[in-house]
Amino acid sequence: MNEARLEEIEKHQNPVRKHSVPAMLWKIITSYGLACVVLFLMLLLTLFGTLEQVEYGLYDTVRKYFKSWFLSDIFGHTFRYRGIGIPIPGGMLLMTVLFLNMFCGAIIRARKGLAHAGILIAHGGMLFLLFSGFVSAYFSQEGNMALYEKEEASEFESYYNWQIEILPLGESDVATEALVIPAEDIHSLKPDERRVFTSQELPFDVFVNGYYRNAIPVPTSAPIASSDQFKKSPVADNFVLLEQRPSTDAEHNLGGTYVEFQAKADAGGEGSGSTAAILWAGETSPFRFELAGKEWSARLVREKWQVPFTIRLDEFTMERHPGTGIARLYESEVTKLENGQEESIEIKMNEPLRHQGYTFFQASWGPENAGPNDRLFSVFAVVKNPADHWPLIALVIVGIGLCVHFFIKLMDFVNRSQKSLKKAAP
Amino acid sequence: MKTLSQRLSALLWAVLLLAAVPATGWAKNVSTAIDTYEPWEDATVDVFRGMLVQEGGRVKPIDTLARYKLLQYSGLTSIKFETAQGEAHKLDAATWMMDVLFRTELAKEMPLFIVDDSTAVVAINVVPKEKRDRYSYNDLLRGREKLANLSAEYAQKDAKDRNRTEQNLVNLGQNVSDFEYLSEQFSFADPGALASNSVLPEEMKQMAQKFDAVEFIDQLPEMPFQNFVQSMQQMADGTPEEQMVADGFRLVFFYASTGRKLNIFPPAEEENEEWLSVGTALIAAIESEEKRPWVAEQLNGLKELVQASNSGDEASFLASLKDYTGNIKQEAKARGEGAKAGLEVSLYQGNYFLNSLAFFVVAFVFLAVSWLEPGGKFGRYMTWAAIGACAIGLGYDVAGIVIRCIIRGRPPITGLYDTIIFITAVAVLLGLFIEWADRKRVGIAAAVICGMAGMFLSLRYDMKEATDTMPQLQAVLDTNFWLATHVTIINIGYAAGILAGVIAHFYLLGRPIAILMDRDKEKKPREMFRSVTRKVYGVTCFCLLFSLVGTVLGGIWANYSWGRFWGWDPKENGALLICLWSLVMLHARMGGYFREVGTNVAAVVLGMIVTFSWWGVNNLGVGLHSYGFTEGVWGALYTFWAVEGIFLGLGLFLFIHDRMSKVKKQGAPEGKEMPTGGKAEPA
Repeated sequence: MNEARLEEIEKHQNPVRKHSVPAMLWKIITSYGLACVVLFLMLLLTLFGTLEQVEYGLYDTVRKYFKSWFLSDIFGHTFRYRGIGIPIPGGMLLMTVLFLNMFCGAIIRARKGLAHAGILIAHGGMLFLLFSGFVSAYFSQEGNMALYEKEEASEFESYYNWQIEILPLGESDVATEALVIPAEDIHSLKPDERRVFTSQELPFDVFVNGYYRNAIPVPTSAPIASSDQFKKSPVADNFVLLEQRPSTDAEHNLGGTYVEFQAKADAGGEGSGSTAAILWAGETSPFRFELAGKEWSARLVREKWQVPFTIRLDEFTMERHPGTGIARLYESEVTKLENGQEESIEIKMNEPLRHQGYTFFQASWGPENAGPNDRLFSVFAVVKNPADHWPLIALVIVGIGLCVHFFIKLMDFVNRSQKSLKKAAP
Repeated sequence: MKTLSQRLSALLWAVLLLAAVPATGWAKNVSTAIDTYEPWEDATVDVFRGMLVQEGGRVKPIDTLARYKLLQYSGLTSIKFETAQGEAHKLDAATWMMDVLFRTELAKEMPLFIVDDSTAVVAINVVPKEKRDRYSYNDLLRGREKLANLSAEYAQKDAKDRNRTEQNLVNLGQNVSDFEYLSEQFSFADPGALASNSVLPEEMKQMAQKFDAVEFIDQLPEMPFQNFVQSMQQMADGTPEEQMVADGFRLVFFYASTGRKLNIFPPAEEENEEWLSVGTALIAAIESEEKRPWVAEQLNGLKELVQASNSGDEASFLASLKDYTGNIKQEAKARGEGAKAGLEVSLYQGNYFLNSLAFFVVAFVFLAVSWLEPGGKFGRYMTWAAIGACAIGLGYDVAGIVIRCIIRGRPPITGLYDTIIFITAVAVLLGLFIEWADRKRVGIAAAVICGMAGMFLSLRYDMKEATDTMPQLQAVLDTNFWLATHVTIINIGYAAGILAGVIAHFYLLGRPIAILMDRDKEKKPREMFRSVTRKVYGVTCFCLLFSLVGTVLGGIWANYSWGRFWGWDPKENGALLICLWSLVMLHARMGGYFREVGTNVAAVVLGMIVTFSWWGVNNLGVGLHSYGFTEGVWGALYTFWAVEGIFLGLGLFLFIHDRMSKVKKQGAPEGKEMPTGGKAEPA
């Protein structure tokens, strides 16, 4: 057999040439080496992403390390080569590569057959687990609903995201309908960036000048307001926004922004012109202004989502172990109101309410120093997650896979033992 | 020439001797001002042990409470002293508690309080003793006021900002104050005991001799306790007659505010869950006329008991004590409480975990002896003896765990302490299983080391924390299903990770010795090291299986409890680190990147990661799994990791050695020797 013939057989067996770029890529993508590298990098990321939580809190660290494709620093240290910053792979990138590596290496390229069935199934389960993670990361909504006893609501609000809500005030001084500038359009603004928002329903445009994740308004007369950092800052009603370091508990951050309402050229009315304000999340009452002959109010509120039914809190119970401060039980008796029908339900720790894709969990309660006769409120964590039960399914698949594998190995071991025993027999 | 085993045996003996050194620093007898000490009869103490109290939200025997109070003050579960006449006495916690409650004067002379830093004692003008000597309450009395001031001052500081002396003073101040309260619990029934109380003015001490708090309250109209205090303050500035009445108010106020350390009266109302103390019972009587007969009954019962103890006739005291504790038990039983108190007494009296440690140490000694003649008959007998002792040690540990489960009606793990005894049991069991499977004495050695280290850790933890290790559970943990599945499974994973690390040490320690003795290339050692690696690999697979399933189960619990599968919480990440590293090990071995040295080094790293996940993440101070923040853990962890660093260094040495051997072999004209790091087969 000559060399040319050998090559032909190889070509026949493998349509991609052994040393071609796709073949090399395929080899890398499906390799144990890549799996090791990605898993090891994931390990480092998890380690640093845990340690950094002490300083920066859970929310920011998770966004930086695990919900990102790349991160620029670890504990503030950047990595540079000849002055060029080296991006560090983030959790999303690593998990995507791991997914690809597992799919190509452990499913497509892996040896098939009964002997490998368990491992195949187990890897399939892990792939499904990763996939459910992606679905949760991109498609789930997470927030909370706080209700005092006898109160009801059919919307829940975000822990972290703030949106601008503009309300025309009717004659009765009560807002009729609200226009919203969504949270994602505000949160992405840098402090020195400016964005204009317009709507056919509004006789004015809204100029949003920068967004601070955590800030506090200070009067311009305050000594700190005369420092250099405020020289270029807009001033509204003799106040400026003083940026604060984001809290380690991200839900405690109070965002702030400068807004300007400028009447459109074609807007009539006596009040045309413009007005500027600071919208701050910590404000208890909205900013009221008159423009284009009408009265308006604007405020920064938490992002809200509607649920297709209403929840009423009938009673909240909190029990402590006798003589201690240790909570023994949190329980909310609620009524679900839907299509004119009422249903009484109990929500407690480890026993949430699941309905129409929404899940209500007992999260916390208040007021903290409530006396025995004080009216209490209960806070429910509300989650809408299409991948809600997928991890359980994934675990069952992985479990089945591993059981199959161990069973096959066990049978193999028994067969071999018997063979060797037979051999040993005279 | 000595065999490899003999050399290792010598090393083990050296370790054993080194380990024995700290044990010699045990607390010694301290001479006291106690003139004579009449010990309580065992029968009396046994009855007292079972007396029920409610503490930390649960009804328990006073024996448990006494044990943790004594640990909190002195760092020990017993107290040793010598009388002025040179008689030595050793009291267990319940006996000491009897003295605190019934013979307070004696208890105040006993060496009780530990102070690690003598500067703290000097700061309150008290003459310092030797380092491990305990101070009696009366030793500290002359510095009492200064201690109260300094302790209060330093308590204002954040714990992180206190230096050692300040921390010692804060602890000592709190302990002394706690002891003072404890010693006043029955003082309403024993006015004579008030004589030594430094807080009360002389005229009140005299008044107390003839004062009956219950009768006094009976003459008052019912009123909120706040009004009672206001009346007391108003009358203190009034006429001489009013001032006399005010003294009665003050005495009741004193009893009501100091007597709240022991909740010993089951409430009369079925729906009320909180047991009452002398103090809260007096307040209940002040606030409600209706409750006064019940309170009178309780307090008079206690008074009779205290008077019987003062009578000097121990037989009659024993009879009273039996009656008294029996009645409370019956009342508690009717309420469905205290049923497991007897079992709890037997748990602590049985010293299960201490006995377990003792048997593991014995097993270690047998094992070390067996290595003197590894292949011979004597060696084999010693190995069997080690296996037997190890199995008994495991038996004690498991029995202790089972009793704790029965007492609480819970799965084995609900807190950090439980993890120690459980992980130890699993690691030992796995080690014994390995030994049963291959009889190469690696499994038994690993089991014994895990057993000794784990039980030692459990005792140290118990002493250092000095709080009840069976506390009531937070609402979120009140689910036996998830405690039994997620928590148990993940801790089995931890145990396997640690065991893999321990076994890998035999390789990393043994091979350099074999190389030094030039026996590395002999068939027997090579086979032994290869078999060690296979075990490490197998146990790592086991670790991965349980860590992975446990971690995912934890995620599912989180999803069912608060709506998210994975939140990157430190404890979750800790478990993930174990899974990820096990996966790296597995895939690197499958890919041929890790061979013998690599697998063993990686297993040591796995052990280091497990300790981080087990202990480190709890102490980061963030996250939802905020149980068991333990002082001084970082110091211990850094030390452990530094020691493990030495083994990693040995791994590096082996790696370089193997590389050089390979290069040499490739350079040689004919290489017939086996490669040192051949691709091992999966276990």
